[in-house]
Amino acid sequence: MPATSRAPLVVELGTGAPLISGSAAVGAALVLGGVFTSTDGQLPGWADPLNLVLTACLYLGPLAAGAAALQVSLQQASGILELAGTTPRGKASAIRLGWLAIASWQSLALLVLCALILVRSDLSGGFSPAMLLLPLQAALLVSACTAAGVAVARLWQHHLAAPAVAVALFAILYLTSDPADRLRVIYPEIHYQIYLEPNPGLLSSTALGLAFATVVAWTGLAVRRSRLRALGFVIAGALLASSVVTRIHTDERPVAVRRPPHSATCYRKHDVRLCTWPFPSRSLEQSLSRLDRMHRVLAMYDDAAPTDFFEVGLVSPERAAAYDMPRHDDLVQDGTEEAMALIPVPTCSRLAVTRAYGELVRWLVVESSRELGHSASAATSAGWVVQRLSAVRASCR
Amino acid sequence: MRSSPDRWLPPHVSGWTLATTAAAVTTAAVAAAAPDVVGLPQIGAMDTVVAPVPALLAWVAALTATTAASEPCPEVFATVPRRAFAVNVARIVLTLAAFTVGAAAATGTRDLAVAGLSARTSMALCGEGLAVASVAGLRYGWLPMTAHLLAAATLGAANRPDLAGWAWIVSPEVGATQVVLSTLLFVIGMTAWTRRARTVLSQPA
Repeated sequence: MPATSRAPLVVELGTGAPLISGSAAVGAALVLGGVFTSTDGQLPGWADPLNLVLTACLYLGPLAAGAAALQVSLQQASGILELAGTTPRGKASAIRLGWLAIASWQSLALLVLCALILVRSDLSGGFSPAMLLLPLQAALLVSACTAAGVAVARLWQHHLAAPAVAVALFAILYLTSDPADRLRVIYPEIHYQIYLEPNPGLLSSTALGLAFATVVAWTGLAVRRSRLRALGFVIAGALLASSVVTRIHTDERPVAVRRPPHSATCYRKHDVRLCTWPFPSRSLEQSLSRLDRMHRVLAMYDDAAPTDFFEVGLVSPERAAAYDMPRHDDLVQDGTEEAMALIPVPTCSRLAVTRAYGELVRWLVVESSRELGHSASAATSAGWVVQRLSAVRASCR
Repeated sequence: MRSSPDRWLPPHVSGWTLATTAAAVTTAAVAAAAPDVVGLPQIGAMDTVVAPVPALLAWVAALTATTAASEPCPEVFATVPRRAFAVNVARIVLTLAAFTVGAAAATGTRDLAVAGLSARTSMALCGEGLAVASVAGLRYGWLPMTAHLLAAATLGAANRPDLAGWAWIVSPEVGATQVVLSTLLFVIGMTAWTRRARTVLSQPA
């Protein structure tokens, strides 16, 4: 097949700015995803690695915008755009072709990064469909960033427009990543526990807003009257989309509690039964031993000490205690989570009651770490424990 | 070469001198006057693990240096004598030096570390930019340095208590390895750039 009959997009993909910026982005993704970035300190599961992919858009998005701006400014500087303007397909079509090539390369870089991060992560901690909204949002964010790059380069014809739009977008994304900001699209500070997933409502509407802004920019290119009006069109569309999103989700957090599985997996040790999500952790055995040891200490003072423990997020039956099981393998646990599961949560928020609760938790952690039966303070502290337990159980008067 | 009869500046004050001085003074002044306003993210880290001001200053310095490497007529430039060619290299080095001196002057004795960190990072970034520019042209010089800076500040500090080792260009501490690496990057970039400029066109059509 002669070279001249290749599809225009294929030619665009293999030449100039799309090729150079795209291969740089894919190369960076290979190095970052394959060697440098890791999710070692995070919990097993799909959500944290996928969230890291979204966080990576903090650098990928601005670079995609810069690449798109570079492509358009090169087209303008070389006169290709003027030439295209004299053909029936017009300028908009020429810009869209380059834009599509840039977006394809940058999406490929995102895909490579996502695949490498997933391959190198521990995915044993569970998966829910809502987690797929994270990479979807990442892809839409990258495409929206390319739209911003194209829009800026159309307005500002300068060879420094590309690096300027990259750094400006980075600043915008970084400044809006604050948890208090309603317009944020990345959630870098979030760690997903086993019972959490991305908020499907918030993320899907943010994704819709990003997609809408991109589509508006895409169609806005064809507006022939004036570039200023086209830009106004884009900004109005983006503002409309984001205001709809924020209006719908005024106070929603980007995480939501997952729907509990049909069946929990339960384990037993002596008197204690622990039911977890169907993805057991390697630290499960230690958690169970700590619960058993603490239960034996507390049972000496409290007949109503719970024996059934359900991991947070599961539907727990009456009289069973909620337990936030530590799933980090590499951290040394002092047993606070177990003590908090065993001591009844006070219903009264008075200072004396919450202080008694804290004292009991600390006492149980210390007492259970000693050898059973060698507790010198056991006899003397019986009244102390019973008094605080009744204070914690009592309702506010 | 570029003088014109109605020139309002003396011939030894070029546009490059003015632009570099203005950029260096502005950036250093911002860095000195409002060090907390300029920020890079350190997502999730408790202690200060990134030095935003030197990193951004170095990025501006490296971008200015690669811009300073451009020649109005690359086709002619490939044929110029060695002495004229040295001016191009000197411009790059002097731009970086101007930013370092500017940072040192602006922060004064209070915090000389800013100048040192900025010099370390700007040498590395400039080397990367020139290396890519020698292959693809100066219009692509900003790509590797911006990508390196943003990726280091994002993925090197995201969701971790410390700074990743590979993200040293935004680190607030200097080690011997970093100095060797950034010098190496600068030397590689300059070598690639000089070879390219001496033999082929320094800028593609």
